[in-house]
Amino acid sequence: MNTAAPVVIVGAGPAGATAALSLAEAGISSVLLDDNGAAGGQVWRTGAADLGPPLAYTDARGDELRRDLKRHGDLIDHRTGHEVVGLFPDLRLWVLEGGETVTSLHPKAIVVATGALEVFAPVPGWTRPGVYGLGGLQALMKTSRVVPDGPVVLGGAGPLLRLVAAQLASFGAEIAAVVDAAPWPSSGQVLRLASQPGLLAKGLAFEWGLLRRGIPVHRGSAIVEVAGDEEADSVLVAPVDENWRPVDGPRRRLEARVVGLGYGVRSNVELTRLAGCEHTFSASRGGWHATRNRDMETTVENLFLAGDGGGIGGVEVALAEGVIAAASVSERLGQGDRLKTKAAKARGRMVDLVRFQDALADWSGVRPGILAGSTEDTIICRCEDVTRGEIAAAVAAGYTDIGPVKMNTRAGMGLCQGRTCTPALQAIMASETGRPLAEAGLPTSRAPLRPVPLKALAQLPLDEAVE
Amino acid sequence: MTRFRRTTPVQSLVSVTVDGRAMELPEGEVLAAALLVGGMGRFSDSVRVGEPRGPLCLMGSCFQCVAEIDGTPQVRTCRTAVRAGMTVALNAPSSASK
Ligand SMILES: Cc1cc2nc3c(=O)[nH]c(=O)nc-3n(C[C@H](O)[C@H](O)[C@H](O)COP(=O)(O)OP(=O)(O)OC[C@H]3O[C@@H](n4cnc5c(N)ncnc54)[C@H](O)[C@@H]3O)c2cc1C
Ligand code: FES
Repeated sequence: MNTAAPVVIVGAGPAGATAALSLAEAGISSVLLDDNGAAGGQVWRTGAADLGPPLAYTDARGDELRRDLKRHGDLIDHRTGHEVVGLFPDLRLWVLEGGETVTSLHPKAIVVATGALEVFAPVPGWTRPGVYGLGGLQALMKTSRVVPDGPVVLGGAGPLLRLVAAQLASFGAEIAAVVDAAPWPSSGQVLRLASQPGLLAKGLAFEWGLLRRGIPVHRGSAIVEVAGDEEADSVLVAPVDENWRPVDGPRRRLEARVVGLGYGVRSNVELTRLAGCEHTFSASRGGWHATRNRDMETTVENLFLAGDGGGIGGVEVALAEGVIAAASVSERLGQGDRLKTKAAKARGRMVDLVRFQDALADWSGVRPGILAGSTEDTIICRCEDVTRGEIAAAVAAGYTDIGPVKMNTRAGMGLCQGRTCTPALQAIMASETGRPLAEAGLPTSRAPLRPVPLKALAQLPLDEAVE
Repeated sequence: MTRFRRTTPVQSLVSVTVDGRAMELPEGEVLAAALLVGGMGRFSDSVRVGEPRGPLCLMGSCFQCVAEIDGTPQVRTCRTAVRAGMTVALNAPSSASK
């Protein structure tokens, strides 16, 4: 058990890895924990084997990052396959290794950089095998160069939708249709997106990748049903209004051997919730996330937060926040302000990037009708098989807060601890109580965050194991 | 029915037992990916209504891809690398390990 490390960084994506590299630049050592086999996070995810030519629409920065981490191996203790399953207000961490052993760390400062999770909108049949997250289909490409065989229909909203479509198509996957809940961006939105010409150009490249291959994009539409015998074999597509509520109009059934769904991403708040940080809701940054000051410090002293885990900003913001967090940690440890200039530059970059993110959210961010495609019988919580009707009934019975609704229905209480169903649960709470989404509440998390063998917990010092 | 294909050549195959059946899978590959390419889509049955389920997120978040691996229940196949000689039981009756 290593309790001596002064700084622990959780998550080796762009934000966390950059924080570690910046600290190393200032001569400060850190432990970098990530549950994956390689650094890179979501955007620069990679596999174990030599995968041949790079994925379309990606850059080489992921490989550079991995090289840099190796080069600074003397100062950066990057531990792959290490999942943080507990984080407490006194900065103790529980780390699960290989699914078997739990150790405890107690650093002076922590940078949480755990990124985002995909947002799902349950519809009838979405639990069938053959339905994957857009990020899931992308992960198969990134780690394994595995792609769907047979017609694919992708549905949702946001940049990931068309990026994944274009990437799949570049491998020769048969994309039958892309179903986008958002309409074409308005000219005002395009203008605001153009404030970051480089990022807008990327988006247009995905669009062109689809157009060039003749892939139909149904805008202002949503997948409202996944049908099939046991596994998915078709989807039903319906037009939706500007709030993503299905409206009258022609519906079409499309054959699909593989269905991809995803309505954008939201901050993964499980660790900051456990640690007792204050959280806030901001529609333009993907909903709930912990609040931070300009030094990236949360309301828990010496607990810093960088990247998409602190509100969705995308990879460029994550990189900038990683630098800023490292500079703050360095100062806090009394290790000097060697990173000050670098952090000031990063702050400068962020202003425009955040404006771009606002425009993106304005165009494709989650709308109140996100759950309108579900019915009474639609399963919302896949772990515990809880339907929309059961959740609505609990609200009608007087449980108007999310915690009691969870206890009463078991929604969000299963193996995944609500990581999949929380946005849907919040949307149902909002519509059943007539409150805005921002007031639907944020469930608490409980340690350990993943199933842990009892004997592993028993290895912890006694006062910790009874948490 | 196979719904996925591999676009790069496999480097080395190892023997794995899946539901009592011997399979040759690429060593070090993400187990969920290898099983999907091998034609498996239904990984588990849901706890209450017993509906078929398969992987969803493929990034360790959703727990829909769990299987019993070498006797340990509820292991995420999307977080597990293929190893020679491993025994995988899909649709294994779930027993809480938490
Ligand atoms: C499914 C998905 C796919 C995406 N694909 C793209 C894309 O292709 N292009 C793009 O520009 N953006 C993509 N994004 C957006 C992405 O969030 C940002 O681009 C960027 O990756 C954010 O960087 P980050 O460092 O904040 O977080 P991430 O890159 O998400 O890195 C966080 C890291 O922390 C790890 N982690 C999380 N929790 C724990 C824990 N408890 N213990 C240990 N490790 C943990 C994660 O496994 C991950 O490696 C995607 C987002 C999601 C959710
Ligand atoms: S597919 Fe979601 S945890 Fe494995």
